[in-house]
Amino acid sequence: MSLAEFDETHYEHSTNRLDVPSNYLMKKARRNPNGLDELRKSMKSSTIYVGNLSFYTSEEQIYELFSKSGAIKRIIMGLDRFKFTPCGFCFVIYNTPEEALNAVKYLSDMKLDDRNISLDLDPGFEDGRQFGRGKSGGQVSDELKFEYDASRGGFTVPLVDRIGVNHTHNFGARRVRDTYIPGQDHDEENEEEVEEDEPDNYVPGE
Amino acid sequence: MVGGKRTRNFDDDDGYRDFRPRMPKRQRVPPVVQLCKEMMPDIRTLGETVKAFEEDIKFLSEAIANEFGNEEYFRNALLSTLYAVVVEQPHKQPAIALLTMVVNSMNPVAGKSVLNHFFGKLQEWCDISIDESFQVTSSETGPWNKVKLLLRFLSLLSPMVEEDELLLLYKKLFELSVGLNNLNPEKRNPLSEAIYSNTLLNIPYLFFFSKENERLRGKVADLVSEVESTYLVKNTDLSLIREYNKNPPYESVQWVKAVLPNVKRVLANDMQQISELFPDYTTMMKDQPGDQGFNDPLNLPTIEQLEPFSGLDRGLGSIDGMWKVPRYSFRVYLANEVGEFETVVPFTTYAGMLFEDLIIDIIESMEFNRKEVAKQVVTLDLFFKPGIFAEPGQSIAQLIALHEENPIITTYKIEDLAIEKILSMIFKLPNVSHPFAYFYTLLVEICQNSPKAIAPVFGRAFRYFFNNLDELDLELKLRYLDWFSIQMSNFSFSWKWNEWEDESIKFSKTFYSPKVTFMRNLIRKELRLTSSKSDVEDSLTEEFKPYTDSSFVPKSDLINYYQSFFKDFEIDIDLLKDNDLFFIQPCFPFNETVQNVINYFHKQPLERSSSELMTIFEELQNNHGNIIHDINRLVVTILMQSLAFSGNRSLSHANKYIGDSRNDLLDIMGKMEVDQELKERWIIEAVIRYWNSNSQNGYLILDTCKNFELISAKSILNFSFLEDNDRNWGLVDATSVESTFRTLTELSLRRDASVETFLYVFERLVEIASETVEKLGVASDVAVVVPKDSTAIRELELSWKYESCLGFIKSILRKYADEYTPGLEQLNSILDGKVAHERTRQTIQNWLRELKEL
Repeated sequence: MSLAEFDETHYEHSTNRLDVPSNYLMKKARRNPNGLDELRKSMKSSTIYVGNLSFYTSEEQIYELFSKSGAIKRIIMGLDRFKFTPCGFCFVIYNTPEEALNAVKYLSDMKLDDRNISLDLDPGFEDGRQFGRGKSGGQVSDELKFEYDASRGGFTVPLVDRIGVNHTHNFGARRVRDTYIPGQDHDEENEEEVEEDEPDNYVPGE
Repeated sequence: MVGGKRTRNFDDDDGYRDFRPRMPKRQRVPPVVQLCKEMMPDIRTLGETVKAFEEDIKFLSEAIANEFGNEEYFRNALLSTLYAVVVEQPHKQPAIALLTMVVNSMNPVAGKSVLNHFFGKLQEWCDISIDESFQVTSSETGPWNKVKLLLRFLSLLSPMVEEDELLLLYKKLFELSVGLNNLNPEKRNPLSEAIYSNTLLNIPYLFFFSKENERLRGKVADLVSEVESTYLVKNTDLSLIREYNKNPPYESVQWVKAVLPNVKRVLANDMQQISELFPDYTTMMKDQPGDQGFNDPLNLPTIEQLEPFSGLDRGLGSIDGMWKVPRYSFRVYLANEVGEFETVVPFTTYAGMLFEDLIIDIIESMEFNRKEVAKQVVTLDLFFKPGIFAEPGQSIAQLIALHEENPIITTYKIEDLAIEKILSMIFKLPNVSHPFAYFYTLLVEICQNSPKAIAPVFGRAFRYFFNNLDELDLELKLRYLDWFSIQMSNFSFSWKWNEWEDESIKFSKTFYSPKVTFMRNLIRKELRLTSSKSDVEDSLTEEFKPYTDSSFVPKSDLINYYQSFFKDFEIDIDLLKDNDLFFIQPCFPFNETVQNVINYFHKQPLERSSSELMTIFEELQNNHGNIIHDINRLVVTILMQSLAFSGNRSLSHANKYIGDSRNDLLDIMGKMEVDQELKERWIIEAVIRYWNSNSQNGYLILDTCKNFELISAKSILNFSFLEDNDRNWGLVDATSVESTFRTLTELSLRRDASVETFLYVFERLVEIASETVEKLGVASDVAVVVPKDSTAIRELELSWKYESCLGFIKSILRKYADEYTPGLEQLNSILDGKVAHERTRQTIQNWLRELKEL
């Protein structure tokens, strides 16, 4: 669906603005019938979403950095919905929408605990959103990753599910990313199939 | 690449794939939109690639000349883009002007339209300058800054425009600045200074494409001498906005004083300096008929209309606002620090002043994209004559070698220039144009782009500020601390700590040494920015390892505090641990009672009743009253520390526990027959002592208590500035200082801001200063001087304390001038009542006098 002013090409600045919805937000909005309203709301809300945090980053650390762009009203840590432990994201609520936009402009991609954090506009916090939406309780994005990431819970995908995937360097193959469906019981057949399906067929130069 | 796959592979979000139904492969946009989408970015980046510049001009001008007039969409997109580049990236103005004039030679109608558009904008901004309802965005630099930039652009077009019409604009603006300046012969007029400096600064641009125009030269010479004879530059000296409290490391130069000599020099000698500064575009230039004029005369507001706006204190834009107080050039990279040469083009040259002006314009007008700013400011040299700056990324050592070999070779570093100007924005007094985060992360961004070239440049700035720390303004010290810690946390905390060891060896035991205080605060701040303490620890040398102990008060003080609750009872100090509740340790006979308090706080709010708590405390009194000095004090402390303990997982936990228990607390404390002030003091002390290992948390929890109206702003300030054996944490500890500013700022933003608390802080600080100077025993008519001899520790400590106290007074007066100004009379009488030392009184009186000018 078209996103009105968000889809327009603008010529009033000599470079793009950083305080605009991310591609992720735009795509989400496109699939959502209320997407445009949500986007407009997020431009006027005092809340921002912060992602790619280390699980070990504390609220105090977030305060120390984010208070540099405005007065913070509240920080809501994102939690694993089963373990109630931080799972790598948070919401920061400022006193005014300008402060929230400032944070997006000034602090996105900054390092916190040696990680480049990502910031996004947000239409506003609602109860329940503080929990990870992944099957395992954490964030969905963690369940799609296959690399080891010490500060985000190591391997999210259990070792057993990675067998047969990690060994074959299946360059860019489609199948790899969808083998693991978080939380679903992988029956044996399926797993075997995967292994059969992926012989080491990489021939250099081919 | 196969065309069909393109869009998918260009998906920006890593690992994210959109499974929406297939759309047509490319959105069909009208050809004109497609053309604009391709052409406008080229205009925005015009000149960034020097090699392609000539071709770009040729290609773009042909396209514009052909396309202009066909479609409204194209026309609007083009004019908006040209305008945006002119006001947001003014260093590209000559390139845009060249493009315009080449277009003009091919299609005069198009040229005229561009000219009209810019003249129209100029008129628009003149009208806005007296529009009270003007809505300012965060990247707004102000109407007069826009007037400056538009006039500059029109000046660049001098070959194409009737020169008399152009000069008339200058004449009118100068007349306006003279008129405003003469409104009050005694007092400086900020707007007048802004217009005067801005307009003068533009004059050399008239000759960018018209160096040979003798007639223009003559007319400009007349104009300049006319201004010189009619404009009276006023002397203003505000000590409140000085970056250094005394002995500044350099002589600061005021804009309004330097601008005319700079411009005269650049015009002298057959305009030698202009040819050395501006790039030569003559080969690309096309002949101009030179007869384009403006449709209407420029309609400037009258002096009467402008007078109410002439203080430039109405927040009509960031750069205009900088003229509110006298504008100085700020320096970081001094000549004598590296060798006998400058690395930043001096402000006392036209080029130096122009570079500063351009960089500040870029920083302010593109604050919505710090990445672009980071790129533009360090490549500014591309838009000027090659050879002004040394090769990018050269180290100081290389420069020294080069300079020795050939003393006339340039030693200017574009990195030094750009970073010095950004720092000047961070260290701006009395206030900063944007939240600090912008400037800090802008600097981080620049460093990330080329760490090898930039890191040493930062290093030199860090050292410079450290060396001059003793005299640096208190607020600036805090900004330095912030910048340093954020920079470090983005670059794995690596710093050559061994450089500063000597200072620590000499003074690590002192309380007030500015340098030791700074290092202490810095290491603590770094620790607060990371969850891996070892990263910070590993960066430190042996000498600094003890600094990682982040205790607010030393352990002995903490022991005394806990012991003071009891009589005939010895506390077990081995059980005193960080971030743990001391009162539930087994050494206390009533530890189970305290556990019951904690259990109570863990209940859901609806299941609670404060009578339950009362019972618990009655038990405590009945069973253990014999060892307790003051049951009320202990009860308040147990309550607050139990809450702090229950909420020790994070600030929001603490927030929640305190919020849920607010009524219980008010209930219980309401029944105590104790002075409210004392109760609040107990609350504060309980929280700060609980969080002794992390006073930042302590102070933030106090903010929570204040928001829940358990304590007042005044009690926090009172606590912060308590004296204990000459130690006053409120003057040195960064968490405490930040809390003071946070508290006062929050008060100042309230609509019903009462001056009482502000007066109180002033009074308290004046008291401390007065007591200290008394202890120092300095004669009344002699100023306090920090002794050079480093062995007289007590004298040193007292004079440092005195300095920091005065620095604090200076900062709060400046920062909260609006709150203090109405209370001037009271301030003066406080001063007379409290301060016997003549020199101290004079200094502060002088600041009070200056308040009205802020």
